[in-house]
Amino acid sequence: MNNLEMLTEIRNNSSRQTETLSNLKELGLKDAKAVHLLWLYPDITNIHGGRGDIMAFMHIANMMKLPLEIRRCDSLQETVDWSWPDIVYITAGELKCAKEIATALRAQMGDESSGLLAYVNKGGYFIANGSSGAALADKVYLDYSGQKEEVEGLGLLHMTWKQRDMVWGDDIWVTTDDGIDILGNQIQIADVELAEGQKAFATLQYGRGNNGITEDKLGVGSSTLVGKGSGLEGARTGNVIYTCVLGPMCTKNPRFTESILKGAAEHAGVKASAELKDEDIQFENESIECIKKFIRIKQEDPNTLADTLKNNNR
Amino acid sequence: MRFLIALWVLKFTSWLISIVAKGRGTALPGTIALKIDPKFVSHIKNLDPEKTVFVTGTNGKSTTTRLINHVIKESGMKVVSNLAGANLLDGVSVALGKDCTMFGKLKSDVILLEVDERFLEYIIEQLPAKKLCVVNIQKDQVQRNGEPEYIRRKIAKSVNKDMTVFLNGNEPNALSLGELAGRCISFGVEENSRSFDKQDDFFSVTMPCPVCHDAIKFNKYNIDNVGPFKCTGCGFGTGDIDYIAENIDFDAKTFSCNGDTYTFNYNTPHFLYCFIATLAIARELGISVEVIQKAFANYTVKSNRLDTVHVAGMDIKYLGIKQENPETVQSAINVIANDPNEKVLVLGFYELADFAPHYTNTFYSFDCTFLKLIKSNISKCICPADFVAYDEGMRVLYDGLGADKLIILHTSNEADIFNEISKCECKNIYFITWLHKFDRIIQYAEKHE
Repeated sequence: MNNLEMLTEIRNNSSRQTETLSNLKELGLKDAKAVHLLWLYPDITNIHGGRGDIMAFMHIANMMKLPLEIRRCDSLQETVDWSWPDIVYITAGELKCAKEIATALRAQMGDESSGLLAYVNKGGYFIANGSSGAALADKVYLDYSGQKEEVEGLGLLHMTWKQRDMVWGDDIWVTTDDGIDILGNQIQIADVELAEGQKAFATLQYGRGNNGITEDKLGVGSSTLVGKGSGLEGARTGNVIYTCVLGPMCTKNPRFTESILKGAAEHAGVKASAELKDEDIQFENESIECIKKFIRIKQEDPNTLADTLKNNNR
Repeated sequence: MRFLIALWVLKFTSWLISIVAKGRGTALPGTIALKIDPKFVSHIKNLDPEKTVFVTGTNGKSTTTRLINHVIKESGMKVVSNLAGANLLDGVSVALGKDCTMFGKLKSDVILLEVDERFLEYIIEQLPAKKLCVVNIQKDQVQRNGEPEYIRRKIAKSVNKDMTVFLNGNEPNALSLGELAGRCISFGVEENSRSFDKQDDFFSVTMPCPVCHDAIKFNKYNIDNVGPFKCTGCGFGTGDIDYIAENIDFDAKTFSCNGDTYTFNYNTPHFLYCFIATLAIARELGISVEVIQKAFANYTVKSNRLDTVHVAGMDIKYLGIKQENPETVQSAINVIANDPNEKVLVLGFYELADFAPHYTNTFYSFDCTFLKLIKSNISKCICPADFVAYDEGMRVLYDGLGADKLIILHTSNEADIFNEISKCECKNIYFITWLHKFDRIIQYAEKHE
């Protein structure tokens, strides 16, 4: 059975003003070396339940008995100490903020020895979720109802984003190169094209991914998916990751969260004292099976699904 | 001639539907009329843009429209509205068409329409209203709207310098539209006993500024992401508000504005914004303070957000939410958290089946905080759904609910849900779910009591 008591205790002993959220005390450790997670610009990346991802890192670290410290960087004007984090995470935000995020971080790019570039070159994780991922792209073409703007991204991932007129919303199921299944939802307001040679984050099992082909029709309903496009999802170079999987992704997919924490622990030179057991994540595993079932029925027998859900219609 | 044919077809089909299925036909006759005359609305005679008010935004436009309608009627003016909630061009056509004479002349003095934010530009193209009220622009139906900026830009396209806008001065996205209009009248609510902050949570977040995209700082929240605010980057903020609800007494159900006292019978912060928006519009339409005071006092809300049913020995309280809309979920949570008594919570987000493709989004619940609710004496939390019950359960576990208090119910069947709540010793039951799901459970309960 899931046990989130330690997370609750940590939260109860903290506040918005807490500089560093830590599980060291709860793990019975003192002055131990910890994995460091920097939550970048949380106030402006405030949609799609993204903050749940950060909660999940703390919860899964607790289950792994892995010391973890989390700090927020709230201001776009703040200069980040790039020697501190092992994971930098930008939660899902509005596409409109990609420009400001890219501008703020470009000023901190640095070089091979210091700054953001040195951080990612040395294997630090840099993860951006949902439309926040646009900040990592080469170029972003915004088009809010005909108001067009071309935005320079950070170029950490070689991809272009082109804003769509119609929003795409659906479930998504992808598999990473490590064989981890990740399930969640996708709210996509852009088409993402990877440049030649740019690796994807994962392979699409179900959903639209980067650039699935849709038939858009203005009306009450949303669009229809008529082709998978490249069949790819997100982008990844080393430990720089963009993925559009929401859920929140890290709460719903604890094995993925565990894999990031393990990699970050290695980066930090820290060791987890326990393995994440299936009984620690019973609910998440049950959820994954339920959502897989939902997707299978949706693909194979949509009428049955519609019948099951008919009472959910307004 | 095409217009008149469309009008007569609309009137005839509306009449026919009202005989076959009373209360239906709020949109279909309009769809047919628009097929005959695509510019149907613009061809109606006697349209006066100065006396046309559109109400749009994400949360509270139906309640606000009903309240304004009530006040205008109390003032003695004739008003036409789409109170049945059909707020696309076809629904608007039906409301206006039914108010026309057989020769297409509008009979009412004032046109008051609730307008879907995504379709505002198409409606305003045919009926260029000079008064627009934006109640708020928040996260809503992400499968269609994606993000608030998507909605804000849609509305912004329709705002022009000929227009007077009535904007929620406590909601950044709505207030940012002011600079696009000829005249901006703001309304808001001052800090009160129900105001809150989010300082007790490390994971709390605010929102990006619609002007410069830096972080907004709220002094206090009256509703989630609504309250006196200032941008930490460009300084854009609430400023001076034209109509502000002050001296708010939720027990006495009164507030004052510009020295006059008003009653608001439905004492939640959400409703208070509907009342103050109405006051602003009514005053600008020239309605006297006395008439508004009287109208507020005798108004009965036909709300779909708040309800209590006594059935099978239980007090079952309904707090309505809009699907994929975290602010309405948070408002419901806050109301329940104010009840210190032992309670059972039924959390029904369910799978989403309104549009194709159907999907399993519950992530918006992570934009809400359940911390205070979970500390408010919950004895059981029931999470029913065919496929997302575990996701619902995970959400409350993440905010500190003991796993021993959680009941995962793999069904959306009314009988199973009712049987589960019947087993609970505590008879103080709260539902956070969609209105029609609640209605079905109550119908089952009353039938099998």
